Amino acid sequence: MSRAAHAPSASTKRAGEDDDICPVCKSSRYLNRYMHFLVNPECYHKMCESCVDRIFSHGPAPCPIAGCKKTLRKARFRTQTFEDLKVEREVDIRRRVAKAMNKEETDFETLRDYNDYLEEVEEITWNLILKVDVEQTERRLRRFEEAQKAELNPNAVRRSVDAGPDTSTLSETSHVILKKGGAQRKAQNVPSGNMPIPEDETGFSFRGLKKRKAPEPEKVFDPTSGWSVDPTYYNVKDEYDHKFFAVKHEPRFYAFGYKAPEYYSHALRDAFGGLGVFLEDDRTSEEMDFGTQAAAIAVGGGRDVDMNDVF
Amino acid sequence: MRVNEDDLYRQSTQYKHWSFTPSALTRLRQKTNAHAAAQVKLHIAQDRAERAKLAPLDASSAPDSGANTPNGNGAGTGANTPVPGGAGDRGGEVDCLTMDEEKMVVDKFCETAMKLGDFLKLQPDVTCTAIQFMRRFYLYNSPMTYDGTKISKTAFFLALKLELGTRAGSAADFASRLPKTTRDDIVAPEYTIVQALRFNFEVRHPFRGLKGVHLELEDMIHGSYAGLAHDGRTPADLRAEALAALQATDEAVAEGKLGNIYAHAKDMLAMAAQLTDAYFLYTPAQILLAAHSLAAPALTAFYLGTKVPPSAPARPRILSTIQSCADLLSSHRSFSKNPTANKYGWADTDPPETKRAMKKLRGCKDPTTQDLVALNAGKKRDVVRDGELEEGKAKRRKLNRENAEKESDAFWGPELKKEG
Repeated sequence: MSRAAHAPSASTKRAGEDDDICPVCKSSRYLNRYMHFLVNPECYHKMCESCVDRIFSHGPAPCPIAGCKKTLRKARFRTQTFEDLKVEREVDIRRRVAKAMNKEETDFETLRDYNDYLEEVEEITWNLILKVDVEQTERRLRRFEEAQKAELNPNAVRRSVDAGPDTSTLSETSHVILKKGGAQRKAQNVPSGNMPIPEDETGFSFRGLKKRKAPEPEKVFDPTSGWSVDPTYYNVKDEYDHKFFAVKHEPRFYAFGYKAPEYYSHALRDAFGGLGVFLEDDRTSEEMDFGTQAAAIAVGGGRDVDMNDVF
Repeated sequence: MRVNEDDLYRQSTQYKHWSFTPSALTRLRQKTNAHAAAQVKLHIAQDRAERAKLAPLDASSAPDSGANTPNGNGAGTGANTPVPGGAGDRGGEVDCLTMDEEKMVVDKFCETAMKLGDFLKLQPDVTCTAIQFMRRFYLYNSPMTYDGTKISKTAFFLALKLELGTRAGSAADFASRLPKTTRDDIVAPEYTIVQALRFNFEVRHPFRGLKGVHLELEDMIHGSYAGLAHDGRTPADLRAEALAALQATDEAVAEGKLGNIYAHAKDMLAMAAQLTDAYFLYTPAQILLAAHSLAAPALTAFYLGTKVPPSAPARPRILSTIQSCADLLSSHRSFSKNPTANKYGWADTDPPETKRAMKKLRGCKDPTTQDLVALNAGKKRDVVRDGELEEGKAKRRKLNRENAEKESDAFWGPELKKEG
C-alpha cells in the first residue's frame, strides 16, 4: 500500500490515523474497509458516509464538528476532488463567480472595458476566497445574476410578477423579483443602453458593457422570396359566369387543393404571357444565347449531339 | 419585386431555346441539312463499297444488280438500305433532300402524326405536344437520318408521359395500341429524341390561353367585366361594344357565336399552328390572338383595344406581329374561313411537291441509322458492330473500364501483406 510508504516520514502518527479516521464518529478504515469521506461546500468539514447518513437523513442539521455552526443538507455532500480543501473551495468559488460573470470580449465596446471587467471579476473572486465582504459581494452577485436573467428573458420576470406574491416564499425572493421587475422596466426606458444603471439595482455595473439585444423574431417564410406577378393586361376575378368551361363546381377539380381562381389566373396568364415579347428584337440582339457551352458547341456544329457514348 | 406576364414567359425553355427569328431558323435548318447530306453521302458510299466487295459472290447467280442485292448477310442494316431512285443505279451520285424539301417532309410527318393522334383518340394537347417534339427534333436532325414514322411513335409516347404522367401507361401498352409495333420500337429512339430536345419537355400551348380570352369575352357580354385602369369605359359600354362587334342583339345569340368562334380558333391552333413554324417564330399569346383574329376580326380588334390602348407605344408592334402570325396561319392549306365538319379533309391529298420530296427521301436515307432498335441495343450492351467506329468505341470502353477498376483498387489500397 502506498500509505505504508508514507509512514516512516510521519513517524509520530500511526498508519491511517490522520486521513482514515472519521472526525465525527472516530471509526477508522481499519474497522471499515469501505469507509468513504464526503465534504459539504458549506464548511468543507470531512466526515464519513455513514455519519452523513446518520445525521442528515432526516433533514438539515448543524455541522457536528465543534465550533462550526453551519446548517448542512445531505444532498449537497459530495466526494472531494482535490486533496487540498483550500483548492477545492477556490475552484467552487471560481465556478460560482464565472457562472454569474459570463461576459465575453464581444459584449464590451472596447478591449479596455473588457480588461477592466476581468479585473473586477478577479477582485470579486478574491474577496470571496479571502472572505472579505462576503455577504455584500454575494448579494451583489445575486442581484447581477437576476438582472442579467431579466434582460435575457423579460417575460419570465413579468410572469412571476403577475402571479402575485407567494406567501410561502415571501421572505426575500419575492422582494428580489419585485426589484428585478423595476430594474427591467428601467432598463427598457434607457434609450441607448450604454448608460450605466445604478449599482444597487443590478449588483454591478461595468463601463462599456453593451446592452443585450433580444434576437429578432424569425420572419415568416416566403417561398417566392418577395416576387409577385403583376399582370399588365388582365385582372383576375374570383368568379366568372361562363358556360363552356365546367371547371367551377366539380369536386374532382378541388382534389389536391386546385381552385377555380387558380385556373382563371393560369388561363389568363397563358393568354397574355409573351404578348409583348418580340423575338425579332430579343433574338437579333443576343443572337442565339444558348444556356451552356456544350449546347452552344452542339448548335454551332449543326450536328446532332451524340451523348449516348458515356465512355 | 414584381414581374409581368412577359417576364414570366421569358423564363420558359420555349423562349430560351426554341424561339427563333426567321433568318436564324433558316440558318439552323441549312446547317442541319448540309451536315446530314454529307453524312448520308458518306455512309451510302461506304455501304456501296461494302456491297461491291460482296457483289462478285452474287454476281453469277443474280444477274440483275439494280436493286439492293446482298441482303442475307446479317448485316442488320441491309433490310433498310436505300433503293437508289429513278436517277440511277449504284454508281450514281446520291440525290439528297434540300432544305425546303426537308421542311416539306417534316410537315408531312407532322400531318401523319396528327392523324395518328386522331386515330389513337388522344387528347389534342398530347397530339400537339408530340408534333412540337417532332418539329423541335427535326430542327437539329434531318429526316434523311431519322425516319419520321419511327420518331413520331416515340414522340407520342413522350408526349403522353408528359401530359398524363402516371396515367400514360407503359411503353408496351402504348405499342399494343399501334399496328406492327413492339415495345423496343417505342423505347429505342427515346433517348435520341430526348437529347435532341435538350431535355426541354415543356411546350407552351396557346389552348389554355384561348380559354382565358373567352373567359373574359363572356364576362364582357354579361356586362360584368371591369376594364383595366387605363380604360375609361364602364362595363355597360363594353357590353354594348362587344355585342356590336359580334353583331348580336342579345346575350344568348352572342354566347352561341362566341362558342363557334372558340371552336374555329381552336381548330386553327390544333392544325395550322402545329403544321407551320408558328411555335418557333411567335409566342403563344401572339399565336392565339392571331387565330382568334382570323376567326373573328372585329371582335378581336375590339378585345385588343381594351387590353392595349391606342396610346400604348407597343401597340403597332403587337398588332403587326399578330397580323404576320395570322398571315402565316392562313397561308397553310388547312385554313378555312368557316369552321368545317370534315376537319382533316384537306390532308387527304398531298401537294405534288411533297409527294416528290417523299419519293426522293426513299433514295437518300442514311443506312447507318435506319435500324434504331439494333443501334440502341448496340449502345447499351457494348456489342461490337461492323465498322471501325464501333470497334474504336469498344476499345475505348474496355480501356476505361480497366482504368476504373485500377482506380477503385487504388482507392481501397493494395492488399495488406500477411505478416508471419
